Amino acid sequence: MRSERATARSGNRDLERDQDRQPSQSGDGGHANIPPPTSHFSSFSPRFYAGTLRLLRHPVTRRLAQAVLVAFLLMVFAFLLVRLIPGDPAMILLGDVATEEDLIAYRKLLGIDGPLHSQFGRYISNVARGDFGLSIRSREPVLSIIGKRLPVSLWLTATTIFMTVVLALPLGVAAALYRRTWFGHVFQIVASVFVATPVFFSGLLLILLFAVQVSLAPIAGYYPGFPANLYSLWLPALTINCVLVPVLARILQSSIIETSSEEFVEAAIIRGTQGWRFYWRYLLRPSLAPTIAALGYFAATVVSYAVIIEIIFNLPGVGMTLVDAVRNRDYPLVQGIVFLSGLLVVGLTFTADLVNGWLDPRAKMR
Amino acid sequence: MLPVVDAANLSLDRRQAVGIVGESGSGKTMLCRALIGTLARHGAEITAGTVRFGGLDLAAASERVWRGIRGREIGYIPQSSLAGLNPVLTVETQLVESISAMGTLSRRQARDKAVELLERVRIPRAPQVLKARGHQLSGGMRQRVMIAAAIAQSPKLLIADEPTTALDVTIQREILSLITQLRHELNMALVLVSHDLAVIEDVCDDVMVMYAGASVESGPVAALSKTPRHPYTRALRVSRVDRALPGQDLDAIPGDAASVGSWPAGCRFWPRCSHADEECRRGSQPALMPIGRQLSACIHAERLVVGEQLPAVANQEDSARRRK
Amino acid sequence: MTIESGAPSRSLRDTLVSPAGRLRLLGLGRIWQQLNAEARWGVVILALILLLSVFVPLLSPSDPYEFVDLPLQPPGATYPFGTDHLGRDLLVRVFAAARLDILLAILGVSVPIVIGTFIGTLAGTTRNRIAETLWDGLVNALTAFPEIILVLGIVAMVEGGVRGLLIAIWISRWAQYARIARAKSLALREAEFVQTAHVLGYSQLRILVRHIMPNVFSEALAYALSDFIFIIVIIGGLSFLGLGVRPPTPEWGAMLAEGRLYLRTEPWLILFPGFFLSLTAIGVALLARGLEQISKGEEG
Repeated sequence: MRSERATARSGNRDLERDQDRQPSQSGDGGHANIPPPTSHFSSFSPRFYAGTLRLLRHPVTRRLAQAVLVAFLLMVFAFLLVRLIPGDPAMILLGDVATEEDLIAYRKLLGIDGPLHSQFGRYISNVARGDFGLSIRSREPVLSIIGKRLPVSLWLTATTIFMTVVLALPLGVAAALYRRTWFGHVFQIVASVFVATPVFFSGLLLILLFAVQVSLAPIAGYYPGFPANLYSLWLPALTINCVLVPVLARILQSSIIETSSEEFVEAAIIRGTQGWRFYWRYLLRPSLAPTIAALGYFAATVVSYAVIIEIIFNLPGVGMTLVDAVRNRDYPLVQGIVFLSGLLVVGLTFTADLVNGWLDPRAKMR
Repeated sequence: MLPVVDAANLSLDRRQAVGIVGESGSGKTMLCRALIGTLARHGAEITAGTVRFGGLDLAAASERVWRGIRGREIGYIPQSSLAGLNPVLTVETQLVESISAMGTLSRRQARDKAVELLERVRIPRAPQVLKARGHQLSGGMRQRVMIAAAIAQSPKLLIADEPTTALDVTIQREILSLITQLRHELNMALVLVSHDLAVIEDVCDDVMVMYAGASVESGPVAALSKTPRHPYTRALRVSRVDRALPGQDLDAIPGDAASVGSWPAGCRFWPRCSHADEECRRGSQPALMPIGRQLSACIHAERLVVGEQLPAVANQEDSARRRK
Repeated sequence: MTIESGAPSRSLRDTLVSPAGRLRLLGLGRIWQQLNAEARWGVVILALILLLSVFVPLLSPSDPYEFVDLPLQPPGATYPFGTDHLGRDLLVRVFAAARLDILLAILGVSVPIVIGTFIGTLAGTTRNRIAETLWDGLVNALTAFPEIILVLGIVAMVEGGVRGLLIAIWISRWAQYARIARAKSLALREAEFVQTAHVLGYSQLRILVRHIMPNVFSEALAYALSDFIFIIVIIGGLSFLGLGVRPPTPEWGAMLAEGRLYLRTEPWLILFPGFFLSLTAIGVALLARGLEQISKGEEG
């Protein structure tokens, strides 16, 4: 008896609280009540959508502002780079025999005449207009040189990323599903070895294997034009992926392992979800976000390796231009490429963040 | 491998509602997983015994057989409704999945059916909720969506594993009455798992009490609440959540629940039982024996008489509080 | 009235001995016992390479610059690794290169770790929002440059050769450590033993130097192991491009660049230096992974 009275009492208390919280709710039997708004997110009204939109827009704008600040600081670094040169750059380039007029002309060419702040102002306004100066070597605008060499580098990047996705996705999934079998153990060891092997060695090994032994690729050089260039690009792309694929596959693997123990996976199995739908929607898609984020994180490293790869495989891309420019002390060209590569990485990281937000609505952009 | 559940008996008829009650670690959830065929995912398996459903033995069923049963014949509502919804998919995608597993429906039809399902679980503004993702909904709303997914194919049996633990008391009540209503509308049998005997008394016809991997008492709800024939059931009744202050609900039973792998010899409840004697400590877990309208695994079940013993347990509760 | 504290078993001294302090107490033998298989393999590989790099050049009759025989001799009894395109003993050159590369990598890691940790810890002491935003931007900008491209850019400005290479590495790598140090010191300020030190009235400087810095440093050291691999790749890579260590100095990357011309006919010219370069990196990677797992296991 005691207990039943107690139930009734506590029931009353709950009812009162219920009324307190939603005075405007017209009671239609109690069961159909909308749960009271416990937080900003849980209330479900048109206003909620407007709020979400604002919230969604907010972190993106903040992230964008951050990217712009970083881009500006990249510019400052690029500007300072030429000022690192000990002594007079014009003198270094021209040697002792230079006349005073030559030196002045050269300083003007390099943008290092006049006081520092006016130099900086000029540099900023030039860069903003897309003017990175003239190459000392060829007297051609830096931007047009880069523009000419860019397609090769872009093709290399595209081939690499295509290959990364094709290799890393199945490898990561397989490594997660079969982690307790021999495949999982072999994967761990092979991945460790591949990640630690420097690209300039693995590149040479791959040339030895595929170009020298079986000539499935040219030993070096580039064939322009779409299908033809793939013949010269697949081996360089594979070389970069020797490092990239194991890293990403490992991240994907641990992410999938984490996801597969989630309750919604069990719920989906019980619902009877099967086949590709199950694997894509319940294992892969919720696990992709960390992998994409990592891809953004490794963007800088990939661009770095691309430089070495272009030299090994003799691909006339931006990387090769940079190395030539460094050898020739072509300061404006070096400066331009360094700045733009930094900008590229900032852009890639930003894009990775955006894709991430789309893939996983939970992921808060910071 | 460790035994997790080794002496559980549960049976229910069409349209009947059975509750399973016990503390955490008593094997309730594992029993549910056995009923839904997902033990293997959690590194467990059935080594002995049967699970009969209709004419089938599910304990020996292949994954292929299970695919025809899960969702279609047996629906399931998980413990945590947030974790139960895929964060990257909309409610619509997940509901349509449950629906279209049924047969060939067009996109349009499946969507209409999804709206109908949401309305069925009393969700207002269903078209809007369809476009939302789990984390955008409140706890009660999420649990309604999970119920909608579970009943999508009108199963004959619905299993609800602590469907209200994560929710507010008010919302708990709403969800439970929703489950009851749907059960009657759809002629479903129900297995409701809870650690709260009061919840089960409200919703179910029969109840099975589990302790340390064994069923210790079972029978009609009314019988068990009036004349509990096992000291553990008795203690559970005293520790009912609606009578205890927050954080005190389990203090009424002295000692810690026996954990998997360290079950005592004899009756598993004896270290915490005030009626335990030498006989209780010998042999293995006693089998369920009929007594009155129910089954009890207490060898002293006869001695536990109504008026005399209940205050004893209540006193024990008092002394437990005094000791603190 | 009785008052009991939450953790009576912990004495004040215990709380003050910071995690880094405990590490110092361990002997070498005990460290070996605590390592897992991966870390042990890493140690064995690295010890082997170090021993070879010390003793091979020491015991060999020829020196790495000496023309000992006909060029391009295949590996055999007299010259286990063969001779290179100028007729030098490849075995001696490979291990002379090991000395140089490992030394350069240690130099390349140690300067940024000190500078970065110091600056980062100092940056961790401010809570000014504008300063924090600027700091984040600065570090993000420096780390946004692709590593090798930034090093190349600095090398172009400063000068080629070993000194230019090291300066370029130092300038471009410190920001990574500064980032880690700042994050760690921010977390440490809330740690119990730092709070205790505050309560005991120690000066800000003493807390910073005696309590925060050692712990930040141990965190940075963990990162330094994986950075070590990258520095070796940068040194080898730039030398490979002809912009770092230059021939005839024995260096793995430079040797690969020389051997590359004979890839078709005399592949051992790249196989031996490349193999030991990779083996060093693999050894460090195994050690780093092993240690990471150990520290993860301790936390979890």
